[in-house]
Amino acid sequence: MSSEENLKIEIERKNEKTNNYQTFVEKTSETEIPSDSYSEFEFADYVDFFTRTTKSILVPVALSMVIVVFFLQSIYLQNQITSQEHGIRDLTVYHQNDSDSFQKYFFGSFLNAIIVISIIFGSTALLILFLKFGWNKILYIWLLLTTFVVLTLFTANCLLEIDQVLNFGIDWISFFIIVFNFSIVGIFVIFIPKSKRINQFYLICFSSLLAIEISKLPELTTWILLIVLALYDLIAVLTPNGPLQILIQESIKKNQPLPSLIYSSSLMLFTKIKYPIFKKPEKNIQNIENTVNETLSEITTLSETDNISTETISETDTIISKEKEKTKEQEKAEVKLGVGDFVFYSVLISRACFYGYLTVFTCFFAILMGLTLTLFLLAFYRKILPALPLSILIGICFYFLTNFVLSNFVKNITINQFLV
Amino acid sequence: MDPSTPLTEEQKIKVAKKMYIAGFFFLPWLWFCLAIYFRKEKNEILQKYVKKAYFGFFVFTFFLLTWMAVFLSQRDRWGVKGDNLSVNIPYGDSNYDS
Repeated sequence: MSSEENLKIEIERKNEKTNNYQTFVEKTSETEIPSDSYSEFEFADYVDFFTRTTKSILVPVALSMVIVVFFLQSIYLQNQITSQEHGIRDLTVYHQNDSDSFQKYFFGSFLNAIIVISIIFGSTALLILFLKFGWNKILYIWLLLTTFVVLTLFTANCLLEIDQVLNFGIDWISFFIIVFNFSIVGIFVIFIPKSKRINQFYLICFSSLLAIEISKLPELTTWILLIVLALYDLIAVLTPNGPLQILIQESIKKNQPLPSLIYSSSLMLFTKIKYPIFKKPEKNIQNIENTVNETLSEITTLSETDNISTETISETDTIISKEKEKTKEQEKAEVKLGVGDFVFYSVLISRACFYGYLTVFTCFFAILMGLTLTLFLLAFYRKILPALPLSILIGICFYFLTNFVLSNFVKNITINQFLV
Repeated sequence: MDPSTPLTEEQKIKVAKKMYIAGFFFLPWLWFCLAIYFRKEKNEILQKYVKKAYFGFFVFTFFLLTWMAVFLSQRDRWGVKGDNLSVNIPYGDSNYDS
């Protein structure tokens, strides 16, 4: 806990410089902290942070999954024209014929999944290249284009399907106005964020739309894609020279936040740690404690508040000036989850909903379980962690377990009327 | 990309003005978002923008809804023009032709 000790020493120094009316003797007698009570408060703080962040992150993930399942069950599965998809099926090179052997089917699906993953890998490589050369504008334009495409074309596609199923005729003028409104306001809100709620709403919509499109891939392709993505995420985030670490180093070097789509749920944490020895806890102290509680979970923006726990003691002047900046802003603790995680959780559950409602519920709980586990590990390790692999691996296990075990069990119970 | 720290009064007025002007390009939803976002502000100029935005949103959606109602009920009578304007033609009997 050397960072905690550093913090304590910083707090003391700060106290010395700002509290002119407290005597030095009083302070030194107060600053002896018994180690037992300190660890108690630390644990309570961890638990508090953990419970608040789980709720703030589980609700949007659950919402996006529910939107995807609702749309697919009610609209997509009713639609007669499911085999003539021109969306993401154009990316697949292998289409299943009934007469193919299992090996050929497996190998073809693997090829399809590799294509999608190479797109993802290529785009991260491009991102790193652009950051290294410092072409930030191209990055922003690229992100803008992707959000524009998703928010216009994919909503248009979904609205057309809704029209066909619900059988109401709509004219091009009002259709255009509705889609135009939705997408333009979405672009403004995502890129020039002013309000937290609308930003979160649009990010959830964005991830649901993308998930609806990706779930139109054939079945084995999606499973292989999810497994390989989970492994890729694990490797990319945790290896010391992986793409994510390079991105973060670049953003630290240039002192700029990464342009990326991230869902951030910011909480106003007014901590319950009051070191009982400081008789006049000031706002500055609470701000320092808030900054310790900020954690990161995937590609994120590094703000200045993260660096405070690692600053050295000798830079007291810079510490105080930075803290004075922070007291003007409102200190908040945030957990950030990348939008890609939302997308692939929803893809998993859409694949489960094509089988039936039983798998939907089990995979829903599996994904949320994996997410809480990752959050727990996050509070424990305080590093950037990959959010995909745990949830996806647990989800896939639960999916196949329900398919082969639970559905037969429920069927036999209902047939034999065991639980009338 | 995060929701930024709270804006100052001047920045809020600038943002509100930009949103208000952009809403004239057939964007009633933008007006609605403006009204919702600034509804708790106490500044007079911002309250003026909020009122204008509410007014504009309601007027525009009124016109849009009347147009949609007219189109949905009268599409059959318009013949070729109605078919050209519509995105998909719903199946089933129409009251006009039978």
